[in-house]
Amino acid sequence: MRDFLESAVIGFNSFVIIYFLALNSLYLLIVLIASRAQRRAQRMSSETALEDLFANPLTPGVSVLVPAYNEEPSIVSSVHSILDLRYPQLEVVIVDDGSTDGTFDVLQHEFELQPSTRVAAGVVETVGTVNSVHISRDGQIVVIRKENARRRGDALNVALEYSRYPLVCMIDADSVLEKDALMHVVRPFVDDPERVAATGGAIRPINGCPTERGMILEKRLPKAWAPRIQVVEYLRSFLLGRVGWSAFNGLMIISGAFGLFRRDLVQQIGGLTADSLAEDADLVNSLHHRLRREKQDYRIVFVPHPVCWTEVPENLKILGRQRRRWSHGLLEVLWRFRQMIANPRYGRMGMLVLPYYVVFELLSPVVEILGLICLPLGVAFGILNWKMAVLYAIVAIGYGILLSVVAIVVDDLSYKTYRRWKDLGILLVAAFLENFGFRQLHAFWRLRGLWSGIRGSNASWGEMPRVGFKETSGASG
Amino acid sequence: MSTGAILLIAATLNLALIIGLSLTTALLKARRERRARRHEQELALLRPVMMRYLATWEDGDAHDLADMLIGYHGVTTSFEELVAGLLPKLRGADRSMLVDILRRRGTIDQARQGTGSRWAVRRYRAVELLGAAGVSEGIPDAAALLGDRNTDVRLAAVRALGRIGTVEAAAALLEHLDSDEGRKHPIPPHPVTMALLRIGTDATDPLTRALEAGQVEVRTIATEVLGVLGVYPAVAGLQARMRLDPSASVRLGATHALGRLSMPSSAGDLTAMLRTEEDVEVLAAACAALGRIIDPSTIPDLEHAVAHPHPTVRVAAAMALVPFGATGLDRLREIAQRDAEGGDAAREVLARNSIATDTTPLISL
Repeated sequence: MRDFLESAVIGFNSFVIIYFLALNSLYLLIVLIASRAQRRAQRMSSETALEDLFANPLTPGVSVLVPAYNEEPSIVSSVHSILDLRYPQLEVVIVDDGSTDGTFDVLQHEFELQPSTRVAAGVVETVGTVNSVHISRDGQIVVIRKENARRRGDALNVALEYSRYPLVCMIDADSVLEKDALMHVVRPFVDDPERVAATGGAIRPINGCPTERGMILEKRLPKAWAPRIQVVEYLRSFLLGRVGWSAFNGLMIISGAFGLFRRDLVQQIGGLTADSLAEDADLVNSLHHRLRREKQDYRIVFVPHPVCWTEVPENLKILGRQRRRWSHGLLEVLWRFRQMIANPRYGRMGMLVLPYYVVFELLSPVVEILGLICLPLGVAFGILNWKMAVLYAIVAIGYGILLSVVAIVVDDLSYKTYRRWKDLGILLVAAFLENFGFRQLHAFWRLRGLWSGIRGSNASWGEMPRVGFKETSGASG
Repeated sequence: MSTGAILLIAATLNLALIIGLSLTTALLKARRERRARRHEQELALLRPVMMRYLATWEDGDAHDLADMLIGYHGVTTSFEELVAGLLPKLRGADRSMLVDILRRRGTIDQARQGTGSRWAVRRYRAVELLGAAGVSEGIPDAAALLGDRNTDVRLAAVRALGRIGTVEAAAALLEHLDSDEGRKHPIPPHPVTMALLRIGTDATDPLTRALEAGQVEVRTIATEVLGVLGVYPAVAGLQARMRLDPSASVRLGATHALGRLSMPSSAGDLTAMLRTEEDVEVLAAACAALGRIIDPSTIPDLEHAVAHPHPTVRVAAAMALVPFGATGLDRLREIAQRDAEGGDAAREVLARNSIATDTTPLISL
């Protein structure tokens, strides 16, 4: 019996090690592909192309869709940051999704909104009843007040119904876009209008950056360690990971915080799935599903340069809730599109991307938590030599740190976002600290999210309390 | 080798890589900062020389400065880099003088040779430079790259032709798009329209000829650009395209153009279009065009279009009635009383109009 247990524990620990080696090696490969794609893009970047895009009267208009639920502290700054974007033709469609705070009041006061009527396109089904529509004097801002349906997807569908331009940009109410961000994400559409269906931009945490009227004055790291660690996570997964996947048209997620879509295509697939917890991933997969089934030549592109800055949770309780929701949402999306998994009809999405997400994203918290339980148990029962256990842990954790360090290096060489030496040092320390406590806690949150997804329990969006941006009249020390 | 030994080697290797990468990043960052400082110092020396040259060349006593610029070679800065940033901001003789320096440095010849490089990045940079310099001898080189296998190079060639900005550049661009080679490596319309708009009225003749091109994309581009450039002699050709072209995108482009040109002679064709056209976008564009022409005889057709089943057409038609002033607003108020047949569009447009003109809402919301 003891022999069997010993073999089982050693076998499982070896499996865990191989699993994490494979996971991190794949990620390392993706990051290296991303750095190569980025280097090439940088060598062929062109300011004149952006100038032309701005100057051309035939540049397609963009409707920026902003679902807002209890966003009183940051909504005005966000809308200002959108209005200040360098883009020739845009409207902002905000959906006040039944906020119980002063979201609408601050908007009405700041932008002198007037009640109006507006004809909805009547193409996409929506759930929550629209109570009223308000517009600014210049007609550039439209605010729709609706009943809360506890789903971000429904708020976006309402915004889609009331939007007018051929491209729709979906952002979070607490997002702050860089000045040229829209032009960068629109450029793939005008350079390849037949094929590009959607584009997404990079997301970075805004916590710690001084801002004024929704513009970032200086790019800095957050003060607390939890958001600092999230900066490393975002670099690895939301920036370089997505550049890598995008390089071979395998982008499965465009973050809800900043994505641009062809309005007609979103309408054709019936809008966003209103009851999905991961409506952003769901939308992208719906596009893949439809366009691949119709055998269309299309591209979903990630553009790393324009940055959308967004507030990330500083508090572990809220962070945990967010990560549980993401994990639950991922399960929902993979289940909804299960017929695509390992199905050659869906090309590399079916044969590579979705299987990767099942094995290495969805199931990784299960393997990680079981590994965390097995290792000390093996030592406690004398099945594993403690020295071996320590070596197992060092290798698994060390490879994770190495991956984060590679991501930091690539980011520093390619984007040079954080200029201060102190920030580079903090990022390297965060890459180290992430693996001691945070990563294990993260695995636990994701496991809970997975479990709630399996049980089919209800969860909803919009419960992240905002502290608002750090408004200042000038950057200080 | 035992499992323990393998793990030990892996852990050591990991640690070495982490430390090595961290140190390399720090070293590269330090080097980058040193270079940036030196770059600034070099620019601080070069910039005043260039400015002095631009300020004094007309007096004829700037030969020394010109020689200095022609012979300049920095460690971190090239003359070309500084000029590339400056050229788009300069016009006329100052610009020509700088281009002349580039020519005497051999930069233009090098760029022309560079367009034949086997490396895409070199071809790209070469054609970008030819475009920034705006030298007409670069037209054949840029035109040859319109069929390049690399998309970024093709787009850079389009932009370069737009910046060189002559009738030959416009003709080369449009002829390429309508050729077999152009079909093999298609170029998207947006950069082409911008290049033609930069060329401006010099592009009128090639654009008018392009209304009869074989390729739908070329005809669409020609219609849109003729409208934006305001080429009134092209009205008859545009009306013909709007009436007869089998492609909805060409009809749409021609309708947009006729709206921009706002010639009363187009009103008849546009109202006929409202009765026969099926494409929603074209119908909406026709309504918008009638709203710009403001011919009272078209009001009944617009009223009819306000009741169109598609909301895009309904709203466009209702908006087109606003510029007719009191008459149009009266009609909209009547329509706004209806529950269906465009009542919603009329109410929306009246509300928007009252907000925009700061008047009391004319209907209850």
